[in-house]
Amino acid sequence: MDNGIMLTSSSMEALSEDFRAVAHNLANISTVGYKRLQSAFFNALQSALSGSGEPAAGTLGEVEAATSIDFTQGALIPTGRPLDLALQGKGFFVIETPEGQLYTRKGSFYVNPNGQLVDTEGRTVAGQAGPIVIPSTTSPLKVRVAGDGSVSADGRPIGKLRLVEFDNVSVLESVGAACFRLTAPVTPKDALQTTVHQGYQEASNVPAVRELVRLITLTRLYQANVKSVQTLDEQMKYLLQVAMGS
Amino acid sequence: MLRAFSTAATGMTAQQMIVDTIANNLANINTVGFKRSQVDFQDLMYVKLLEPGQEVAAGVIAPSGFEIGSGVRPASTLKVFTQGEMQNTGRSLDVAIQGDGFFQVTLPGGETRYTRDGSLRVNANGQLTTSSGYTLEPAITIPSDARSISIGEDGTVSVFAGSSGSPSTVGTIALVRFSNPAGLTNEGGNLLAQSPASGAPISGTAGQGGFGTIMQAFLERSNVQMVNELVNLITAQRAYEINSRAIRAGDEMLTTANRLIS
Repeated sequence: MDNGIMLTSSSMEALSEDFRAVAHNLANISTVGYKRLQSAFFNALQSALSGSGEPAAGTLGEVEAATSIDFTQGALIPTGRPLDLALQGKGFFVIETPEGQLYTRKGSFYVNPNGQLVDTEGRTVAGQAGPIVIPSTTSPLKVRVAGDGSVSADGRPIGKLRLVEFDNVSVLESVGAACFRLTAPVTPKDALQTTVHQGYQEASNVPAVRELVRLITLTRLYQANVKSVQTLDEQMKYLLQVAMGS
Repeated sequence: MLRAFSTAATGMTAQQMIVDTIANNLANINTVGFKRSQVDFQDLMYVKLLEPGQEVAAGVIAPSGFEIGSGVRPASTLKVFTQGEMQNTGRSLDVAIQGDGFFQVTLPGGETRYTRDGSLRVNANGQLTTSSGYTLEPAITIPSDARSISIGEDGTVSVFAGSSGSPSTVGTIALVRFSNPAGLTNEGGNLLAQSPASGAPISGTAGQGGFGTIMQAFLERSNVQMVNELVNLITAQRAYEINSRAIRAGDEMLTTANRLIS
């Protein structure tokens, strides 16, 4: 009995953490290159409830709370800005930081005063051979990026963007600003199947309707949990009454 | 739970920021040389509740961690320097830049500013100025007896003065450009100022070294596309609603939980 209440309350706690993940996804519905958080807890709960109809004893409380990142492709939105690059495929851009390399799908780039291609934070974007440098005699409006990531200025090739992919994307963790870092010593592979689209941004991959449905489901599951705590409480009250002989 | 409220609130603030930017873009749909702004967002720091690879039971390690983000923040608004539409005005002092570059003007205090607005005037001293009265840098003086003014693609200004039958060159409209125009500061009044992010101005001649060409009797319209802005406006409004829905759902969950102690 006690155990039942404990399991239910741990499930309520997990639901409210999951609710935070949904709120975070919805807050980032307009963030370029954002990849949604999905919760393993929610998925396990859903399959436990829909699978056998009746959840196995203890399933609810023992589900591990875990989030993973959903790396599905976001929609490509045209901006017409020559330094907005969007990726189609599994690849990532590589950003050089003092703490090591970061990987991102957000290709809103700029040129710093040294002519180097940089991201929104001013960190250099990795090319196949060092940073991409746009000569000062070329206007940033005249920079062309081909589908394979080759960059040319005024028709002259000036470098090629480094695009990488991972066999298992679960080694990546979010560090904010649509960037990811490796959590395990994995060597990224060259992304050969990824196409670069110039003048486009990759929109956030948060599906509004699905997140809203998830929100409603969470609310109802939470209410159901409250209800079962109340029922367990009433049962205990009844048992006590019987035991006390009143 | 309460943290989720602030997460959803950051989402609402972000959408509000988009609406503010769109409002300014739409208000400037008829401003000559205006460049539309767009807001850039970043997902906020993540809180790690469980490290991936952490031992959760004897010999069992968590295959993935549990990290939850705390919302979104506006990172920057940036001007998009794509070409605006060219509109023929027939006025000889209207000039537009087709391609990259800015006109350079001097403020009364001596500071230099940059603009794409080429609706020029002649002031009382005969100097070419912008519509706000700031003189072009380097200054170009039109003789008072000038009959007609022609401005070439490379910015050369020549006039037919007095009874002379041949044109005489009175100066050249110089252009400057920046390696990162998005880094220029907006001063209002169609003026932009240099910043550490924009890099130093590179001056040159129209039509050469990456500079655009100058077109006389044309004005560059604002590059705001009304339909795009309206679509973005609707999207922002719906996204705002969705985020407020998250707050309402959280409120409902808390209300339910409160019933436990009643």
